[in-house]
Amino acid sequence: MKLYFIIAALVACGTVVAQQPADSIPLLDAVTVSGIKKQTLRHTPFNVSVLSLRSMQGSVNYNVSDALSKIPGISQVTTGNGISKPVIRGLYGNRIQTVLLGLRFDNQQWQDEHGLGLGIIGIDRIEVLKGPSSLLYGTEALGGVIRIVEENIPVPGTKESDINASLFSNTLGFSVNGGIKKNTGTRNWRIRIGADSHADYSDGNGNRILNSRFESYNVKATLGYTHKKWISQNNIYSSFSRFGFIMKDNRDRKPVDTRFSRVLDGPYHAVIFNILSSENTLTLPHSKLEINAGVHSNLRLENEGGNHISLNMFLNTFTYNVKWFRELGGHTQLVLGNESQYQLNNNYGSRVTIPDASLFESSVSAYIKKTWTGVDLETGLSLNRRHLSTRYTQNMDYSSGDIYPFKKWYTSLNGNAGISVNTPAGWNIKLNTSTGYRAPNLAELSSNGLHEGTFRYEIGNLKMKVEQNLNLEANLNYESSTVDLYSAVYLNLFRNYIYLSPTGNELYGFDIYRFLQGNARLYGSEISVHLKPVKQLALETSFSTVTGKLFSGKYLPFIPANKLVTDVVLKHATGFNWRIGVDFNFAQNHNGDFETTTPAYWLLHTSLSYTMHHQRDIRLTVAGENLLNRAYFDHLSRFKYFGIYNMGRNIYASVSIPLTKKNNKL
Amino acid sequence: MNRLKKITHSILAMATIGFVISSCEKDKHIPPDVSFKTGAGYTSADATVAKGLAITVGLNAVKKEDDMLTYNVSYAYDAATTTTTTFQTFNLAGSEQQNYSKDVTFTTRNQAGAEKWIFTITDKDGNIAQKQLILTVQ
Repeated sequence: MKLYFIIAALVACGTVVAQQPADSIPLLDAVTVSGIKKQTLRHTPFNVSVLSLRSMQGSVNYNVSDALSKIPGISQVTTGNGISKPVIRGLYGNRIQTVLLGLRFDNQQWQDEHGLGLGIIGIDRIEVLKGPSSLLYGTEALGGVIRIVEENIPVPGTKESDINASLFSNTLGFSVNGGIKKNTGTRNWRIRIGADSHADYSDGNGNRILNSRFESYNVKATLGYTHKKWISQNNIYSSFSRFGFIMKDNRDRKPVDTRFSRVLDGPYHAVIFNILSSENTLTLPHSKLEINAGVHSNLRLENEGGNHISLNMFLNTFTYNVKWFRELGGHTQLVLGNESQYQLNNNYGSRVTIPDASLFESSVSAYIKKTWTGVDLETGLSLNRRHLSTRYTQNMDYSSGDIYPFKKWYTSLNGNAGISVNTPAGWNIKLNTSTGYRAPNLAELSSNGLHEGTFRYEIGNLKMKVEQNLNLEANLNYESSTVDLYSAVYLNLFRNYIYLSPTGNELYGFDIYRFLQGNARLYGSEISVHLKPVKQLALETSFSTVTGKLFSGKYLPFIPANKLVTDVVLKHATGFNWRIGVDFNFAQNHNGDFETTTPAYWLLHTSLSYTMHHQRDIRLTVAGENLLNRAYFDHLSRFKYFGIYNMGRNIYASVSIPLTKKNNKL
Repeated sequence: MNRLKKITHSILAMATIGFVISSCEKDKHIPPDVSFKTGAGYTSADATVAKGLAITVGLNAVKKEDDMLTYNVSYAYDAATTTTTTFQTFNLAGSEQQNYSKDVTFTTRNQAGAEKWIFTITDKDGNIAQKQLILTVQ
C-alpha cells in the first residue's frame, strides 16, 4: 500500500525527467546536433532528441531500439527483446531512416520481424530527428531520422582505451566491449570489439519464453587523417548476430533445455553486415565540401523451422553523398547536396519473399539558413528520382500471374521551412513544416505468399503509388536553473499511406491480407518537464501521445499507447546518482484492423550509478526494470498475439573502466 | 607506423571476408511431393461431371525438404480465382508430417458451372505444395 502511495505521489508531483540526455542537463545550448549542419538544438527548427552513451549505459538496454524507447514519442515494435524496431511517433520500418557512419543504413527493415539490429557499442550519442526530413536524408525519412554518432576522436597527442561490461539478470546475459584509440594530430585510429549473449527471457509470471535467446558480435575500426584542408575518417563496421525466433505455430515445439542455454537449435534469424565508409571534409576558399561514400553488405539468413537456412537474402548498397557549404554573407548560409544510392538484392535461399531486384536513387537538394538575432530561419527543396527493377527469381511464386519482373520510376519533390525563435528570457519557440516520401517497398509491391510465422497470405500491388507526408509541428521549450520544459504538438498528414489489411477472404485456408493505400493522419504531442528545486534533486516527467487514423476512420496498426514517465533523481556531490520512477502505459483501445486492444500497465524502474572521479573516471551502475515483476503485454509486442508476455523483472549491473588516464599523452 | 599498417591490413582482411561471405549458389526449393490417388472410385484429373454428384479425391503427400505442417482442401466456384473457401483443414502431427494420405468426398453443386478444388500441403518452412482439380458441372 505504501508503495502504491509513493508511486502515486511520484506521478502526481509532475512529470519530467523526460529521459532526454542524462542527468537533466540543459539541452538547448549544450547539445550540438547534426542536421544539414552542426548547430545547437536552440538554433534548429527541427525537433531533435539526443541520447548520450552515458545515459544509455545508465539504464537497462539491449540494443539501440531499446535505448531510444526511453525518449518521449519513441517506442519499439518488438519480437522478443532481441528483435526490435524503433517507432517514432507511430512510424517505423521503411518510414524511419537510420544514418550510421555518415551513410544511410539499410537492414532490410521492410518486414516487421526484421529488427534494426544495432547495439550501442562504440558510439557517442544518438540523435533522433522527429518528423519527415526527406530533404536532408532522402526517401524513407518520413517519420524521422535516427543518426548514430560514433565515439569521439581523442584529443591530439593522446590515446584512450576502455572496457565496458554489463550483466542482465532476466536473460542471464552479458554485454562486453573494449576499445583503444589514438590521435597523433595528423593521424588517428580506433578499434572496438564487443560481444553480447543472452539466454531466453522470463515473463512476470516466471515463465521462460523458449527460444527468445540471442547473440551479437561486433567490430568497429577507424583510420583517420587530418591534413591542412582535408579531414578524412574511414570506417569499417562488421557485425554478426543471431536471434532465436518464435512463430505462431512453433512455440511449443522446441524441447526445453537448460536455463542458461544459448544453443540456437530452433528457428532463428542470422544477420551479418559489413560497412565500409569514408567521411571527408575539404576546406575550400570561402566554402566547405563534405563527401561521404561507402558500401554496405547485409546478409540475412533465416531458419524458419525446417532446421536449415531457407531464406537467404544478400543486399549490397553503394552510397555517396556530397554537401557543399557556402557562406553568402549577411548571416546566410547555402548548402547544396547530392546523394545517390545503388542497391542490389539477391536471393540465394529456397524460400523467397521478395524478388531479386536492383534499385537506383539520386537526389539533389538546396538549402538556405538565415540568422538574425534570436531568430533562425531554414528552408530548402529537394528533387528525388528512384528506379526499381526486379528480375525473374528462382523459387518466387509467379502462379497468380500478378507478380512479374517489373521496372518502376518514382519521382518526388520535397521541402521544408522552419523558424526557431529564442528570447532573452530563455524561451525557445519552433515552427516547422516539412515533407517526406517513400516509394513502396518490394514486399508492398510484389508479395504473393505466406508471411512466415504468421500464416497470413499477403498480396502486394504493383500499382502502388508513392507515399507522401506533410508534417506541421510547433515546439515550445524553456530552460532555467529550476525548470526545463520541452513540448511539441504535431499533425502528420499522409497521402497514399500504405497499410496491410485483412480482406475477410481466404486462400487455401489462409486469411488473405492485401497491401492497400489510403490517406491518413497521425497527430499527437509530447511534453517533458524537469523541476530542479535544489541542485541535488530533480523531478522529471514526460507524457507522449499519438493517434493514427485513416481518413476512412479506421485506426492504424502499431500505434503506441499514451505513456507517462515520472522519475525522481537524486544527485550527490560524491558522484552518486539515484533515479527511481514509474512508466505508466495507458490502455490502447485504438487498435488497427488485425490488432486487439491492450490494457494499461505500469512498471517501476530504478538506477543507481556512481562515478569515481580520479585519474580514471570509473562508472558503476546498478539498475532494474519492472521491479514488481508484472506480467504485461505491450501494445507493440508482436508476441502478444501468441499469448506471450513481455519481460519480467530485470536487474542490470554495468561497469565502465578507462584503462588510460585522462589526457594520456603519447 | 607498423601498428598502423597492421590495423590497415586487418581491416582489409575483415572487409574481404565480409564481402565474400555469401554463397553464390542458389538453393533449390523442394516442396513436399503431392499426388492424387488413382484407381477405381477416385477422381484424379479435370473432368466433366453431373450436378449433385459425390466425388472422392485421394491425396498422397510425402515430405521432401521440411516436415509437413498443414493439410487443406478449399474450393472456388466459377470464375473466382483469388479467394477460396475452406472445405476441410488439419494440422499434421507425428508421422503424418513425413507421409500423409487422405481421402475426401464432396458433392458437386446442383447447378452448372466450374468448380475448382485445391489440395494444399504447407511445410514447416511455410512453403506450399498444391494439386488442383477443375470440375465442369453440367
